[in-house]
Amino acid sequence: MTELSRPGVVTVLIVDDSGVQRRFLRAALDCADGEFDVIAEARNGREAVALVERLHPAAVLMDLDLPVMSGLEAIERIMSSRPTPILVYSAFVGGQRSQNALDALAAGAVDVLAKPGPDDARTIEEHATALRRAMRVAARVRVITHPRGRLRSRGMGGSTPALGGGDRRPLSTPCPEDPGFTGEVLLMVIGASTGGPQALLTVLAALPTDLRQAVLVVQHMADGFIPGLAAWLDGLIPLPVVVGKSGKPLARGTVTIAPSGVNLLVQDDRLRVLCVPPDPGQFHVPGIDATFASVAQSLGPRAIGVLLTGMGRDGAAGLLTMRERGSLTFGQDEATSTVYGMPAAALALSAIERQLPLDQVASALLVAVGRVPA
Amino acid sequence: MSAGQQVDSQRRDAQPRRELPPEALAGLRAAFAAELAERLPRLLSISPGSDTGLLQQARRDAHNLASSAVVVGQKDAARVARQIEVCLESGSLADLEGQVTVLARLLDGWDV
Repeated sequence: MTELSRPGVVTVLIVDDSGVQRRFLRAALDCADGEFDVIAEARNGREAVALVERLHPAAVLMDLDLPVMSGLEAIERIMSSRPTPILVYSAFVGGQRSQNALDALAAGAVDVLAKPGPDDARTIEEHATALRRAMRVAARVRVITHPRGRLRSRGMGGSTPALGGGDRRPLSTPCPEDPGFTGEVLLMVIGASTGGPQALLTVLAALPTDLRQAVLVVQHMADGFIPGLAAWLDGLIPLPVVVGKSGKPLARGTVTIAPSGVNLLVQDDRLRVLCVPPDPGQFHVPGIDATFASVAQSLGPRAIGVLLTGMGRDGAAGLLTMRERGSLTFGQDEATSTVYGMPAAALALSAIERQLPLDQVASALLVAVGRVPA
Repeated sequence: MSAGQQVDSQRRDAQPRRELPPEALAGLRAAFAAELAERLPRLLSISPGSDTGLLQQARRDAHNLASSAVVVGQKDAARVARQIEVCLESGSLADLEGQVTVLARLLDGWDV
C-alpha cells in the first residue's frame, strides 16, 4: 500500500498527453463511489516513470502514443524497476499502433483497452463503464519484474529453442490423410483472456513447426486488435498465425486466432469453421464457451482443450463439455495466472483434467500427441 | 483474487451505467477548447515542405484531436482528424491542406 492510499481505494496514475483524455479518465474513475483515487497525472512517459517511482500508485492507466518518452518505453522501465499493474488505453488506427499495443502486453502491461473512435456506437458513459471494469481487474493483478530489453529481441521465435522444435524423429502421430489414421488428436484449442497474449506467447513459442495438429486460439480482446495479435504472434513463434474465417478449414501446423465480433464454431472433423453472431447478452466476444462446445461436439477425444489466465468464467462450461465428450483438458494454475478466474471456474466444475504451470502447458500438449517422452 | 473479491467485482460490474456529472462534461468541453486552440493553429501552419519535427508534432496534434473530438461528441471532426493523422503517418501530404481546412471548418465556432 502506498503512503497516499486508503484501505479499499485503488490509487491511480493517469498518463496521457491530451488534457481532454486526462479529464475524461479522471471523471470516469471518479464516478466509482471512491473506489479509485487518481493521485497524479503525467503528460509523457518520462513523467510517468518518475511518478511511479515517487508515488507508488496501485495501478497506471496509460496511453502509448506519448511525447518525450513513448508509452512502450515507459512500461518497460516501470516493469523493470517498480512493477505496477498497467492498463493501456490506446487509440486504435491499425498497423504499427496495434503492434505497439501487443508489445506493451509483452512488456508487462495487464490489458489493452481501445479509446473510443468516431465510428464507435457506444456512448462515452459506456466507455467509462468499460474503463472502470478493466481498471478494477487490472488493479488486482499481481505483476512481476520484467527485465528490460525483452522487446529488443523481436523475432525471437526463430531463435528460441522450441520444445521439440529441434526434434527430427519420425512423427508418431499420423495425420488424417495418412493411411491407417485411427483418430488421433486433430486440434488443440486454447482459450484466454486477461494476461492471455503473454501466456499464449509462452505456450505457442514452444510448439514445433512440424506440428501435425491444428491450433485454435480464442482470446478476449478489444475490437480491432485481433489482426494485430495474429501479426504479433506470427513474428514471434515458429508456427504461422492467421485469423480465422468462416468456411476456411483450420490447417494443421498453423495457429488460427478467432476473429473479433463473432463466435467461431468448429463444424466437423475436417476442421471447417463457421463464424456466427454472438448470443444476445453475451459479454465476451469471441466466446470461448461457444468454441469449446463446438469442438466437443465435432471432435470429442480428438481435441485437447486448454484454458489459460483470465477474468470471469468464459470457457469453463465449454471445457467441461469437452471433457465429458472425451477431450483431454488442461488449465493454467493459480501461481502463474495473471488473473486466476476462468481456470478456477473450470476447476470448480471439474472441467480440468490437469492443472499446470504456464511453462509446462506446451510440453504437456506435446506429450499428449506423442511428440516428447512423458 | 479471492472468491470474495470476485463476488465483489461481479457485483460492481453489474451496477447500472453511471452518467458523467454535468460539471465533468463542462470540463471536457473546456479542455477540448483549450486543446483546439493549441493544436489547430499548428496544423494550419504546416505544408508538405515543413521540416520533420513540425510534421511529427502535427501528426501528434491530429492524433490527439481525433481522440478528443470523440469524447466531446464531434465525430465528423474526429474522422477528418484521423485522416490527417494517417496522411502524416504515411507521408501522403498532397491533400493535407484541404483536410486541415475541412477540420477547421467543422470546428469553427467551437466554444465552451
